[in-house]
Amino acid sequence: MDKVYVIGAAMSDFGAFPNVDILETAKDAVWDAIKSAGIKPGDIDMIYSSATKQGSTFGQRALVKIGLTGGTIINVENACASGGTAVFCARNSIASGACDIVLVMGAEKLTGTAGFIPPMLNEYNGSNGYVMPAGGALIAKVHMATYGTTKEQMAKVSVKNHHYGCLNPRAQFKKEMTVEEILASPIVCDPVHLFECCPTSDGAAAVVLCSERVVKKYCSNPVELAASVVKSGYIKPRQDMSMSELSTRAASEAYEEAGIGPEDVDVAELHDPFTIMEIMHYENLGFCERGEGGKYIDEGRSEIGGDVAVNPSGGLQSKGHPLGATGVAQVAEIFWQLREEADKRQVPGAKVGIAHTMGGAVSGADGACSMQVLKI
Amino acid sequence: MPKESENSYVKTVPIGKDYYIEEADGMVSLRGSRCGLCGDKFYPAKTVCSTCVSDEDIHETKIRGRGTLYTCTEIERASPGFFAPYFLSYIDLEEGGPRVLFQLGECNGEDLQFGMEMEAFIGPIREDKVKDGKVLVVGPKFRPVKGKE
Repeated sequence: MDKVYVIGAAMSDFGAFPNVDILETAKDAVWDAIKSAGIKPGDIDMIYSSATKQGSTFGQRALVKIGLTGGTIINVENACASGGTAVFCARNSIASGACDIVLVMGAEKLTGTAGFIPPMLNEYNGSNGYVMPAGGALIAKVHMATYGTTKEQMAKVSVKNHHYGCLNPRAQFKKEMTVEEILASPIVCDPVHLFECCPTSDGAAAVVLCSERVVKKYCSNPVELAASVVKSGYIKPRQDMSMSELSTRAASEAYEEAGIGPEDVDVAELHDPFTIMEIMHYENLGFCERGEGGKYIDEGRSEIGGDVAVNPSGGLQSKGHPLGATGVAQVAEIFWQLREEADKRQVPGAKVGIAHTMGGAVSGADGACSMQVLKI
Repeated sequence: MPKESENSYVKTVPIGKDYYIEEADGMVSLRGSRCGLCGDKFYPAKTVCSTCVSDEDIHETKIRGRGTLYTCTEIERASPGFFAPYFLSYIDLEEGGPRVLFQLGECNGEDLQFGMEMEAFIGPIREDKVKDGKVLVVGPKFRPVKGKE
């Protein structure tokens, strides 16, 4: 299979913009990514568009505004892992030899929906009132009971990520937070506090992927997409909720595909919709042993300057989480980090980065996980 | 449990089709499946064993509404139709049965300990809007077994 590179990236501001047309935001991100990549629109062979709640043929509705319809446009949905899934599809289209240049766009507008995403009543867990923050809470309780993880350790994830949000001009929240403020915020589902939940967000992002065959024509310092994996969760009658079997497996396959181990990772954009998830993912992605996630953040090992700089963009916690855009924005962040273009939130000397999202929870099993490994 | 007349429900309906049986002795049995190949049990029932990915030896089985508490949380703000605050939990159904999500009822947060013995009862899960009003959806919920708190 041919190597695949990222040669351009762009994103909109993430935030709450109820009066902004998301189709405009999306097409602006696409146009900026095309310019960033130094390609002509006619060079694009295929487009994948990621969105979850924006209605049918979202990609075409945005792209028609700038005359980019006519070619192959495919709309991708995998809950919060939609963007990562679209990147995976684009990678496959290039690696197979079918395409040289593929654009990936992701967008979401969630403002205007009341509160958190309502349960899906047509499946067992949803019919009983399961909502995503409840999932985070049920998992947090197991991790705390099994390993002694504390609410202070969980709150520190939010402190760290809000601090990095202050350094990211695109972040939804640019406000420092303290452990005390976070633990004083209202409880959503015990033990998860409001300021430990990612916000309701709007935004868009786009990246341009390119084959090894033509990359030299466009880009002198491309970033290699060394691995791209998408998996769904196995359903087990008794699922151990102190870990994610799905994330662990997807990460393991991605590391093998890229020829690296977790010790080689310098920077990670990973899935932190609730603070406990980041702590668990330190373990799932192999940055530390099972049960050591709380200690990992206590010791500063997930900060810029630590072992693995985790979520230097501010993560879902503070940069925001417009579902369809997130996975694409993560790849954009790692692209900038590896090219030393991340300005105030730069991870010094970053050479290997990962982008990881998990999407949806289907009664008894996690829905989807996407994992990318990028190298320069 | 709210009576229909008290809350103007058009009717009361069970959650899911044939999910449970209310036994003569007041116990609740769950209608699940058991795979003869691997021994795994499932609730709700399945026609294909998801462990074996096979329908060769999968049968209906009754699972007693008893188990232990694996994890739980209290949801403070409810989505439309659900009654806030409410508890969600995972219950490990007895005799190596599956770990399943259920609402809890008839308990205080402080009384709940992981590993404690729990039993099923039928209670209100949510209300759904229908053309001429509201319908109350009821189904299996769990509560601590008395005398074993």
